[in-house]
Parts: sequence; C-alpha cells; structure tokens
Amino acid sequence: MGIFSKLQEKIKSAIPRSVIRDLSEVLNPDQIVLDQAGLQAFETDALTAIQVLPFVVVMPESTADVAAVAKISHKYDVPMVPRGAGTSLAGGAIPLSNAIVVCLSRMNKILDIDLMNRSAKVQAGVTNLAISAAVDRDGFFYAPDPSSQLSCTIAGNIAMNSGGAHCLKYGVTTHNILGVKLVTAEGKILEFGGPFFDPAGYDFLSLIVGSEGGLGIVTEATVMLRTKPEGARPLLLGFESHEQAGDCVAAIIGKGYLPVAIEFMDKPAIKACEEHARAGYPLDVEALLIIEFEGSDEEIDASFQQILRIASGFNPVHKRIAGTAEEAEAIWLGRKSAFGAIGRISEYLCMDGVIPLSKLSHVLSKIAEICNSYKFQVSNIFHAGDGNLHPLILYDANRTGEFQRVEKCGAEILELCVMAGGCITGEHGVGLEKRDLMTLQFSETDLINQMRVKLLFDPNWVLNPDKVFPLELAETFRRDESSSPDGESA
Amino acid sequence: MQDMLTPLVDRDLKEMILDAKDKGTSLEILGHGTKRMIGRYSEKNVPLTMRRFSEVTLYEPSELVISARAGTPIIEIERELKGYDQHLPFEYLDFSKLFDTEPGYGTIGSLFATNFSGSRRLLKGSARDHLIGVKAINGRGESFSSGGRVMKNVAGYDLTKLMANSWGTLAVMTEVTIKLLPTPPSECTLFLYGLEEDIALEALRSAIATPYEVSGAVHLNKNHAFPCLDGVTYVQDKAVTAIRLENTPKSLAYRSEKIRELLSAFGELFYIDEPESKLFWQNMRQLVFLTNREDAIWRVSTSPQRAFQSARQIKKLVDSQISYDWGGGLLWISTRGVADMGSSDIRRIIAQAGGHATLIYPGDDATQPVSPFHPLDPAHMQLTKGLKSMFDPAGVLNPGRMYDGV
Repeated sequence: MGIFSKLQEKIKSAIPRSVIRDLSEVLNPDQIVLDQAGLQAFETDALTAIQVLPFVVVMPESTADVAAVAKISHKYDVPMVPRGAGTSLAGGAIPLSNAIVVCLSRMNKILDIDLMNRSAKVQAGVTNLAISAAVDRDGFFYAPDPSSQLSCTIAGNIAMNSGGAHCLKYGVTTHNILGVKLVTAEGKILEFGGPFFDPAGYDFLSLIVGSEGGLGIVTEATVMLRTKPEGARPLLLGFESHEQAGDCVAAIIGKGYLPVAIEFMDKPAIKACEEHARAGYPLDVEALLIIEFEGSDEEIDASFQQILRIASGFNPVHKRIAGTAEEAEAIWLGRKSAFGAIGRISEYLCMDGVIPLSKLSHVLSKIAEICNSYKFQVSNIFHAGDGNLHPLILYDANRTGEFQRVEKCGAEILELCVMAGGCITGEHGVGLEKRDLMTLQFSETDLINQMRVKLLFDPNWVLNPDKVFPLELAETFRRDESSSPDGESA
Repeated sequence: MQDMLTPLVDRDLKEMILDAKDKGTSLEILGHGTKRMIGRYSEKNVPLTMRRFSEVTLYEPSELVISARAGTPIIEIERELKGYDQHLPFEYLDFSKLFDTEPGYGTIGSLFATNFSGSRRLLKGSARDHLIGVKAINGRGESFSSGGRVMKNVAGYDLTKLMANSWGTLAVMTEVTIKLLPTPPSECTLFLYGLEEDIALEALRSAIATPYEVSGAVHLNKNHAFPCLDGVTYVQDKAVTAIRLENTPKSLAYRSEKIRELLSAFGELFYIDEPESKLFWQNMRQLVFLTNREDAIWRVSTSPQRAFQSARQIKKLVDSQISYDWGGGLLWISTRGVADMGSSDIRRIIAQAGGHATLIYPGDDATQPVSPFHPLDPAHMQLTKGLKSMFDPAGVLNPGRMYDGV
C-alpha cells in the first residue's frame, strides 16, 4: 500500500466547495451524500482491506444526471469513481479522497425487453440477476453469472468484463453485450452498438467492456438474452490427486465434450463448503469436479455416461450424479457458497489468475509451496474448463502487516500464472489490487498502447484515474504525451 | 501494379513501416488479397503482403486453443483442427466464388481483420468473439501484444478484439490466438418451402426461441435459394427457410422432432440429413447465391424484429433481392441497375431500424462511388479518427481503407 498512501498524500489539495454547489444545482438533495456516516458506506468495495473516504457521493437517476455530474467534474478537473454495487474483489470501486463517487444503484430499471430480438435494454445499475429474473418466465436468461450476481450490477459487470461458472459455454460479459450508452469524461452522451450483431466501424464496445470505468460511465446497456435449456444437472467426481482431476478435464475437452461448467475444488475448499452447506461432498478426496450439462433429461444422462466413461481412465474414487433438480441445487449450493464458507473460517484474499489447463498440477503444487513459505493456508477453487484459478489465501486481518504479506504472496502466485502462459486476472479485473502487477503480464509498450486509448476518451485522466495502470508509468506516459502534442512521443 | 513488399519476420515488417513513415508513404496491408475487392482502395498505398508469416505456432486441443502467425492460410489451420475434430466455430465467410479466388485461401489475419462471420454466429458468436490474443505492430512501428492463450483474460483494455474489423488500419497483426470449439458430431437441417417472408421470419424466431440450440436460421428468396440447394434432394422451386441443428445423432432426432411439432402449422418440414445439410450450409458460407457480378451486394446487420419491415421498405424503393440470415439479424441484398446501388435508401432505412449496411461489391458496371462502409455519425467519426491517430498517427497503415482520413 506504499504507493497508495503516497497517492493519498499527493491529492490532499483543496477541492472547491463550488463543486458541491454546482452538484446541488443539478441534483436533488437526496442524490448527494456528504455526511461522514453516509460516505463511510462507500469507502471500500469487496476488497475491504483498503478504505478511502470519498469527498462526495452522487446517486444519479438518469443518464442526464450522470452527464451533468461529468460536466461538473470536467469543469473543476475533479476525478470521478464510477460505482455499481461495490462488489469488486479487485478494488475497482474504491474511492479517491478527492473524487466524486458516481453510484449507479438507483439506475436500476429494465427499460425494454425485446424477446423477438433476444435482447433487453437496461439501466446500468440493474443487478445481474434481475435481468434473468425478468425474462425467466418467458424461457430466457442473461448468461454471465458471477458469484455476486444477486447484488452486482451490469455497470460493474461491463466495467470488469465479468465471467462466472457458466461462461465456459456462454462466454463472458464482452460476448453478451450488444450496445451501451456512455457518458464521457466531458459529459457527452454517446451510444455504441444496439439490438443487432457486430457494430459498424471500430469495435469500441470491446474497449469499453473491461475498461474499469476508465473510458466513460456506462449508464445503459443492451444485453443479449439466451434461451434457457430444458434442464441442467451436474455430476460430481472425486479424485485422489489434482493431477488426475486436471487430466480428466483435459481428456473431456480433448474428446470433444464441452460441458456448460467444469468446477474444481481442492481438499480445503471441499471441507469448508461441506461444513457450511452440507452439499454431500466427499471429504476423503484431494480434488472434486462439478461438471454440468444442459439439455433434456435423456440428453444429460447420455452426456453423463460419456463423461463417466472418459473419467474411468483417471480412477475417480467418488462419483455422484444429480438425478433431480433438488440434488443439482444442493451440489451447486456448496460451490456457490464457497467464498462465504471460507470467509467464516478466516479473512482471505481471493486471487483470479488464469493458466493453461495443461499446467494445472505444476501450478497447484507451486501455489502450495508459495503459500507454505508465507505460512498461509490456501483453498483452491477453479473454473477448470477455462483455466481460471481462484486461490483463496487465508490470513489474519488483525495482525499488523499481514495484508501486505498476503498481497505479496498473491503477487507471487499471479507471477507464477503468467510464467505458466496465463494471465493475472480472468474475471475480477485489475482495479487497485493488481494495478502494479500489470507489468508482469505486459511490456511498457503494451501498456502505453492501452493508455493511449484512455487518453483519447479521457484526456484529463479523471475517470477512475488510479485503477488498472501502474501509477508511475501512467504519470510518465501523460507527461511524455503532453510534452509532444503530435502524439509521437512514445 | 507496384512491387509487393513481403516481410518474413517482425523485424522486416517494423522496418518497412518505419521506412514508409519516414518517407511519408503508406502501405496496403494484405494477406492473400482475397478480400481486396471489399472496402475502399487507394492506388497510393504500397502493397505489403503478410503471406510469409505462415506457421501454426501452438495448438493445444485439450485447451481448445490455436495460435498462428497472421499470414497462415485458413485452410492450413482447418487441416490441423480436423485431426482433432475441432473447428473455427464462427463459420467465416468465403468470398472465393464471388471474386474468383481459391476457396479457403485467405489468411487467418485477414479473417479477423475483416470479421465476416457466417450463419453459426447466431448461436456461437462472431470471429471477434473467438479472437483471444494478438501480437501486432502499429503504425508507429511499435510491437505490442494483447490477450494471450487463455480463454479468460480481463487484464487491461481489450486491444485484441479491437483488432477485429479494423481492416489493418490500426496495426498489422503478426500472430493471432483463437478459441476453438469441438466440431459437432452431426447435423441436420429442416426446410420449409414457399413461405412468405414475414411468416418465414416468424418460423425462424419460434425455432430460435426453443432450447434446442438452433445454429443456423436463414430464409432465402426463390432466386437466392436455387443455387444454395444445388445437390439437395426434395428441392422445390420456391423460397426456402432453413433451420440447422448440430448435436449427437440421438439429440438431433429428439430436437428436430420437437421443432417439427412446434412448426407444423407453418407447413411441411423436410428433414435434410448429412451430407446434404453440410452442403447447403457450405453453399451459404460461400455465398453461392451472390455470385452474379452484375449485382451490387449488400450485407446488412440489423434488428431481427425490424428486419421484415425494413426489407419491405427497401424493396418498394430499390429493385432488389433480399434474403435473411441470423434469424433476420442479417440481410443479404442484391440490387441491379440502381444508380447509387440503392445506397441512400438502404442506409436511411437501416439507420432508422438500427444497424448498418456494408457494400460488399458495387457490381461490375458501377460508376458512382459509394462508401463501402456505413457512414459514421460525427461523434463516432471523431473517435474513429482519434483512435487511428493513437495507433497510426502518420497514416501509414491502410489509410482510406475504411473511411476517408482514417
């Protein structure tokens, strides 16, 4: 947190009171949070170890509100930190002390459901699950399903390009967004895409999704709806070693089967989930796979038979098929409550690295070594089909210096993922947490090419300015760019 | 025709770009030139082909991932994939019949640079959706990479997908990494003959709304249908509405029966098995219904809900033949003998409905120049020019290929 506190020091410059005056001219009093207690509710997100009290929080109710706030931000050169539900595990919504936090949670209306187009237009503060709930009766759903889907917003999903357990089949957010309405740093309102495939010209949508609020504030989105399957049920397979489980996943995919989800848990994770949710997980295995298929009952059973046949080559010591919807729910309940279950045992830092599947057993044993060297316990939960690892490193938040140690341990794990051919984040985003680790994965030139995009959208660098890019690199970049206006600096 | 530059390695390419930048000249970035007829052309640009960048650099069937240097022929990649029953799921369009080139001969880089996805895009997403990593050199001569070989990667801004549909105007891709899917074990197609367009689109919508994973949903008018039905039994000389399913044989039997029951009110459904089903969709992918070079050919992405109304309006104003893919989300329009190829009417109507129209080919006798790409509104054009200047400030790479001044 060295750099972080340095930053906080630097930005203690006085903020004009006229910002508040201007905000109260465009918003109602109940849309502006200024009191200490109110602001405290926004001082962190799901990366709770870092807290910063913002200067002011605004609660826009329309795109016009957001645009009006952005104009004020632009006028006074005051940063904005966009916020959905504050569920970011990467600190993507952690405020700056001199920033206007733009919280979209009141913009939670579903504006239009167009089943003929298989799309829905929503305000960006709507929760992920609310979209699926609205079209459930008609046999549709919105596919990306982050664990926080009950509370997280589409705005946040778009910012972080969120995934979920089922994105093996349906893709992540970027594959499921057709269009957005975006308020720029200067308060202009732009639209990209719409209820049709493949927008014209450059793919600005691909830049906006995953830009962590750094290019603009998304206020509306047109999302793709998909048809619900007839049914979906998982199969549980327990193995005596990580290698066997990993090899089994590789064999399933290599043989041409693509389940809708393949989840992996190691022994500590299984134990915590079982104690918490009583899902009937076996406690005497080293690794557990949850493999889900969709289709009719007969189709699912046929797929299970194929998977069992493939799995038999890897000596599964536990096999359980969910025969009914209730049994399926019980199996998923265990997995979905994993983070909560482990949270009951201890504070943890949730990592989000991705690795090529072929490196799984090597990476898992290295993770164990790294955590051991720090004397931290670790539980591994893993979207195995796409190589997205979630090691949860348990630590004692009450001990001084422990958070810094756990961050260091996490950084080593992410470096390991990059060395194995993977990346530092598969679905949580960079935020504050991994900002300084970007250089593990990218060269300076790679990052400069990304920062030029930010500079185009946000010339004054006011949109979530302290996220994604290493601070010193960003400062150098901006200095170089401003000293050579022809853009030929780098 | 000027001499063609043919870099072999990144260093050559970088030098050529920097050399052009220093001299104030510009480059036309090509693979095999199979899509050279599409888009704008400038004689000033010195042609540079990436065809010697040809090599599959990584293939991990168990991770559904392949990497190849950008000039690798698509056909070579497909040959590799076939050995493991995997494929490029977005069913890229093959313009070889229209432009008299060798089928499948294009390069993998040009496939992504142009982002033309076929019928299966409806279910499985576009070429862009499957591009997970790129290495490229921008107009400043800088090598950069984005994404990687893993399917999930949200670190930093997604410059990977930005390369899709940028037509080589931002950077020259040197290597691409692609997410693959297993080839479905079998397929079948259900045909309905002679439906009116609005009824046909209703039938397609009903089929897509089922849980049976329709992977192709097209309606071809009578004239367009005929060449696509070449080799298919039960041909009727009528418009055809086709619904594709891909799955295990057992699932196909079950799912096709369910769809048959559901659509029985629309008329008799003919079950087309392999290999005829495959042949039909290959004809679709090769656009065999659009090979008359006297015609102007439009590809229109629009809202499926508005597709029929838009098509009716267009037909009222422009002498045209219209067929539908993506369940109505994609219109193929051929026009003949219209001064501006129907551009002003088509683009106005589509803009109102939402979407955009690309002129794939203006017709052999075209005299009036028409912008191949849908004109952008001023705000988007400003951002487009801004992005171009960030990646290629001197305008070295394919200037004018998409828009004037880009």
